Parts: sequence; C-alpha cells; structure tokens
Amino acid sequence: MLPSGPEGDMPVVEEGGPITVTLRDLDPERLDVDALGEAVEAAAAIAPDVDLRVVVSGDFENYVRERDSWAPVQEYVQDRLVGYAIGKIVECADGSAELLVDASVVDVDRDEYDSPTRTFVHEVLHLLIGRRGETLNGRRARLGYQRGSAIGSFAGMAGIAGEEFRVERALSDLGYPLPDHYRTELGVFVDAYVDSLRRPFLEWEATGEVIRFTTPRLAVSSSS
Amino acid sequence: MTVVAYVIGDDVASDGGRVPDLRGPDGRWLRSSYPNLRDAFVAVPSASTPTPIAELDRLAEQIAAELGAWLRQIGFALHDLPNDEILFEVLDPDDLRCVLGVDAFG
Repeated sequence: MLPSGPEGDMPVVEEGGPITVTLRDLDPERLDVDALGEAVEAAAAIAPDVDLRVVVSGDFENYVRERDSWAPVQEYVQDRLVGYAIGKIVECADGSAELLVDASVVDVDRDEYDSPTRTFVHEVLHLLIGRRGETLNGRRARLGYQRGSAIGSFAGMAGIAGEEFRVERALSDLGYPLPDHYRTELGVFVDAYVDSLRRPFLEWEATGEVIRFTTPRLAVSSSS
Repeated sequence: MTVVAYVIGDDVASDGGRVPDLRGPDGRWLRSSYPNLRDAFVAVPSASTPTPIAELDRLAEQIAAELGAWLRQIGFALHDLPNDEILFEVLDPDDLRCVLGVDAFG
C-alpha cells in the first residue's frame, strides 16, 4: 500500500528489504499511485539488497540541495538546457540510499512518453554502478584535474557521458528503450546546445565578457 | 552531451535498430561526427556488466578525444594555458558571425 497523503512514510515493498516512499510538498490528488507502485517494484527488483528510500518531492531542486551536502550539489539546478533533471540518488552514511524524484514524474498528467518506471530504474542503475566502485561521475576531480581546465572539462564530460551511456544501454537491454522523441529530435537538442555556446558572443559586443557566459554552458555537462 | 549519450546507448543496445534522425537542418552539428562518437562509446559495457574502473577510465579517454574533435567541428577549441587559465578558442569567427546574424566581431 502506498502512503495516502503528503509526508506519508511507510514500507511498500518487502521482498529483499523494505522500500519506503515519502511524499513531500505535493498534492496527493495529482499522484499516479499505480505508476508509482510499479516504479518502486521495478527499482526493488534490480536492487534487492539495497536499503532504499524513495522521496517524491514537489520542490525537487531545493530538496536535492538539502539532502546532499557535497559542494557541487549546492549549485544543483534541474534545468539542463535540453530537458530537466528529475531524479537523483543520495548515498547515506548509514549505508542506505535515497532516490529523490521530482513529483512531475508521477503526476497524473505527465507527458505520455515519461515513464516513472524507467526513471526509477535509471537512477538505481547509477546507484549500483556507484556501489561497485565504477562511477565515472566526478571523474575530473578523481583524476586530479583542476576545475575549469580544458583537460579536466573533457575528462569530466567524458565521464558523465560514459556513465549515462552505460545506464541507457542497460535500460534498453532490460526492456526500457529510450522514448522515441530523443532519437527523432536529437538534432534539435544538439542545435540548442551549440546555440548556447555561440549565443554568448552576442554579449561580447556589449560587455567584452565571453568566457563568463560560455563556461557555465559547458559546465552544464561538466560540473563534476 | 548527456542526451547524445542516451541516444547512443539506445542505438548500441538495439544493434543499430534505433539510430537518431539527423536529416533535418538541426542535424547538421552532429550528422558527420555521429559515427565517430558512436564508435567511441560502443566498447563501453552496459551498467549490467561489472567493469573495472581503470578500464572505464581508459574507454572514457576515447570519448573525451571524440568530444574534443566534435567541439572543434562546431567551431570551438579548449586549451589549457600555462597560468592555469583556459582559452576558449573560436576557430572560425566569420562563420560564427554568419550564424549569429550580427556583426559581433566589429
């Protein structure tokens, strides 16, 4: 059974260890309870040995900053230029983990192509990668490159891209292919990214400052 | 780049059955470089396959090299300077001026 209201907190999956679901800052009437239940079960199935807590938040961005004190996370933003971050794993000191999810993922009126189950499994795959000591996130810092360096930027971007590739490849293999619009609109996404790199030069004429506008856009992909 | 990694992951998992559509005008920034980028990723195992981090780092270096090549293709390059600053080089300002549609370069 799922919680019946905000701030609810109760076990919903018992096989292999309980998973609790907490609802924060959201209207419970907008919650797709069945979809949430399916997503939690799918997450539990691929991570049966993980003590996992799911938190669905209507104030996701601030809640991520609140839950994860790692310095780069304090700059966490959902807006990723092409799309929004909607899920995040937080490892806890007691060995458990929290899966933080934006309430829009399980909203009754979410976009048709948004799959709560896919989102949950995506994030749990990141968790499992991390627990095996295989994470490529934070690669720039791990390799000792300075933030803002060219070689460090590419090291970080390649790490993030490599890990996302691993997760998406596994998701497809598990029967959760990428929604079609990513494939059909990839050119549009890339065009927006390229435009974000070029647009700052418009500011050059007025301010003489280019790098300050450009670096944050690169950092969208290389913050770690 | 995250979205590109998503798409390549799905493409590779489907053995080329779900390739991206880059035929439109927006696809111009990735059309010719997509095969090289895909090649850089294809040896990276899925998350379901435990892999030593050293091997993943080695594979990530190939991805980094292709990302650099792609950035140059769209008209930019990053360089580390001796004073710990970074140079963001515009490789073709004339082309950039054309795309922007303004005389940003005086």
